[in-house]
Parts: sequence; C-alpha cells; structure tokens
Amino acid sequence: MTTNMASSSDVHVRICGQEIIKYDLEIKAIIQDIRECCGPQAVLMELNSTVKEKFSLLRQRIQDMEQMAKEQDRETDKQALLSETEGHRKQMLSNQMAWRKANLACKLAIDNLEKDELLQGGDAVRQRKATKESLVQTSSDITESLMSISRMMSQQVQQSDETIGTLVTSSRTVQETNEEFKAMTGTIHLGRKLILKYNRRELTDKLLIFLAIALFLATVLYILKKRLFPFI
Amino acid sequence: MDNSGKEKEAIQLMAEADKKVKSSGSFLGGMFGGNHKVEEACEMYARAANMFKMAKNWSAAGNAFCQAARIHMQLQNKHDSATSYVDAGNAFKKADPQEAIKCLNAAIDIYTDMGRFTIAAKHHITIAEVYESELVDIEKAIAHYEQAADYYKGEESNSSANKCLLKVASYSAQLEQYQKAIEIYEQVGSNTMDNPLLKYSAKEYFFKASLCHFIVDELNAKLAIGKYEEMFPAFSDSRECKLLKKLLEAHEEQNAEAFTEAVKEFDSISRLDQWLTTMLLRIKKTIQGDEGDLK
Repeated sequence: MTTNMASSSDVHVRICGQEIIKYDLEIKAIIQDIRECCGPQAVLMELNSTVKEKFSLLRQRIQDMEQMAKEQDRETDKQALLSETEGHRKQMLSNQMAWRKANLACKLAIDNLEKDELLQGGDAVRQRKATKESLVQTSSDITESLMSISRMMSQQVQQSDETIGTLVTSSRTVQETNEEFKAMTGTIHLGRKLILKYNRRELTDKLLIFLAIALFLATVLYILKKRLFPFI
Repeated sequence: MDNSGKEKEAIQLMAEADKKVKSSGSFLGGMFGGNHKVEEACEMYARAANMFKMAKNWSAAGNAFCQAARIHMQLQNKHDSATSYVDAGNAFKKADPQEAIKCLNAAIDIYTDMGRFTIAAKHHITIAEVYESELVDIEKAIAHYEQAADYYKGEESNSSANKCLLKVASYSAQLEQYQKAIEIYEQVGSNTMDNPLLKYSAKEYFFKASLCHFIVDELNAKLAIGKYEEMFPAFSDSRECKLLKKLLEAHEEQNAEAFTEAVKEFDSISRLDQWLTTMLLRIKKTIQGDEGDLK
C-alpha cells in the first residue's frame, strides 16, 4: 500500500515537473519571438497575450507541485521537492524579467520603425517624379504669377476708377457745404438784426411804463389832496 | 554572509511567530493572554519581514507582511492591516507582480471600507502602473486608472482625476477605442481652458482629440476643429491647429508628400512623442491605403 501510494505520487510529481519544464521552454521560445519581432503592435499584443496565458498555467503548475511537495511523507523528499519548486519559481521570475526586457526592446524598435515610416515615406515617390513634376510646377508657377499680375493690374485700374468717383463725390460734398455755410451766414445776420430790434424795443417799453406809473401816482395824489384838504 | 544570517534569523522569527499564533488558538492559550500573544506574533512577523527585505528575499518579505496584515484584521486593526498589505504589495512588486496586485487590492478594499478614497485611488494607480510595466496588460491598467479617476472626482481632487483620465485616453487611443479617448480629451480640455493656469495645456488636449477624430473620419475632424476653435479661440493660433489644417488639406488632395512635409516641419520645432507618432502614422496609412485603392 505504501509503495503504491509513493509510486502514484511520484508519477504525479514527475508529470507536473515535466509540464513545468514544457511551459518554461514554450515561454522562452515566445520571448525569443518577441525579441525578434519588429512587426506591428497587434502582433506584439498577440504574443504578449500568449505569454500571459502560459505564465498563468505555469504558476498554477508550480503551486500544484508545491502542494504535492508538502504532502510528501518523508522529510528528505519534501525538502528536495520544495527546493526544486523554488528553483522553478526563480526560473519563472527570471523569465518574467526577460519578457519585460524583450517587450521594451520590441516597443522601442516599433517606435523607431513607425517614426521612420512616418517621416520618410514620401521621398521615394518624390525622387521618381522629380523632373516632370518640377517642370510642371515651374510652368504652373509662372502661369500663376502672370495671372496674379494681370489680376493686380485690373485691381489697380478698378481702384483708380473708384478713386476718381470718390473725388467727384467729395467735390460735390464740399460745394454743398459751401452753400450751406452761406445760408447759415444769412440766417445769422437776420438773427443779429432781430436781436438789436428787440433790445431797442425793450428800452422804449421801460420808459413808457415809468411814465404811466408817474401819471397814475400824480392822479392819486391830486384826488387825495382835494378830498382830505378842501380848504387849500 | 551577513544577508544569509539575517535570513536565518528572519526564518526563526517566523517560526516563533507561527508558534505564538498556534498557542493563542488553543484553549489554554486563549485563557492566558491570547490577544497579547497574537500582538507579539504580529510584531515578530513585521520584524521578520524587514529582515527578509534586508536579505533581498522579496517573496518571503511579502509573505511575512501578508501574515501580519491578516493578524491585524483578526485584531480589528484595519489601518495597520491595510498598511501591512501595502508593504506586502511593495515587496511583491519586485518579485511577483500578481501577488503584489492581490495585496494592493486587499488594501484598497480596507481603505474603501474606511472611506479613505484618496488613498484607495493612489493604490489603484499603483496597480495600474504594475499592469503597465510588469504584466503588459493595458486593458486592466485602463480599468484601474478609471477607478482611480472616479475616486478622485468623488473627493473633488480634479487635478489628480484629470491625470488618470489622460492616461486612460492615451491607452484607449492605442487600443483603437477612439470615441472614448475623444470624450476624455474634450472633457479635460473644456475643464482646463477656463483655468488661467491650465489653459496652456488645453490646446494639446484639443489637438489629440482632433487627431483621434481624424483617424476615424476626415469630415469629423473638420467639424471638431471648427467646434474647438469656437470653444477656445486660442486654439486657432496654435501651431497644432495649423498642422491639423495642413494635414486636412493634404488628406483632401491625397498627397502623402505634403503630409510628410507638414509633419517634418512640426517635428523639427517640437519633437513628436511616441503616441503622436503612432497616431499620425495611422492617419498617413489611410492616405496611402486610399492611394492603393486608386491604383
């Protein structure tokens, strides 16, 4: 019974160890693919997801092995399996480090490739079409210059015409202003005469009012004298 | 030699602490100072963890901190438990990123229970960074950055929330989730353009949103640029906007040479980073693809 149990446990342990080694080698292969990869971002993400999956499987297997190690009957076997598990765990961690470095290198390569592709893409096409393009461009530029000169001259003529019209209009405006000023002068003169007349009339009215008051007072005094002092 | 001695001492401390925990679990141990023994065990775990750190045995240090954290939880000492989980996460980060994420998640659960959302958000960022660098899992990094941004927004820490959101937008655009990136860039741009200190970054956010529109569709990009110019007049005068208009003209004429020249001119003055290079290359491939179709 004990021999059968030990044998079965040993078989499981050996299978687990082999699976751990298999996953480890697969992870190493994919890390190498990542290191060599210069492709687009999607390929890198696909490889990364594969590595992630295999890492999770490997971690599960290492935990299984650790559990089986703790279940061993003999202390020497237990310690040996625990140390082997620890070795596998360290190997997994070093694989993770290598994975991270490969990722960084691959991302750097992809970035440089993208930058080059972005900034250098047009040169080849330009070199091939240089001569014809330059001739067509030159003639097109000359035509455009001539057209712009013609447009400019027509604009100048139109501007001169507008200037003449403006001058005529302003001349008419100046004459109208002169007429307006003359009418204003006449009105001002009339106002002056009226003001002088009113001033003189004011003086005359004052004199008349004073004379009227004097007559009124004289009459009042005469009547009082006749009634109050009849003997005088 | 010295490290080996420290490690052996740490292993002895772990064994003694285990013994104390077991004895406190028994009936007689519970009768006579069980809590005291558990607290002593906790302290011994912490000392052992620090010795493992000195010996650079990160995995064992993390395990010791985890043990200490579990005992703190037993003693209903939430804050110390969370702190121990964070220490365990920091130790595991160097050895086993998956375990680090597990420990930090446990710490986040405790902090959210206590209502400490800012600290929980900070640790979400730590987890996202682990996913970014160690595990190369951008989807999960995006999820954690989004969670951190939600917590920061809840605590009215808008600046930190914007930082997380910008990370989410950048990674979303890399994963070709352009609509999500556009929404985030527009939102952050709208928030920052009214702030006198932050408005100088708004044109960058609108530029990136326009590029994402451009990859999806050229007409969308034209409409978006018009909208951004109305929202933020300073965007019209920026070099980014001028570049976008040149690129739109080149795309209309299906002229890859003009596109390249415009990008070169922009790159000669302010260097393009990797994200912009990737996005502009995708736009350029649409032009070249169209040319291929025409041929």
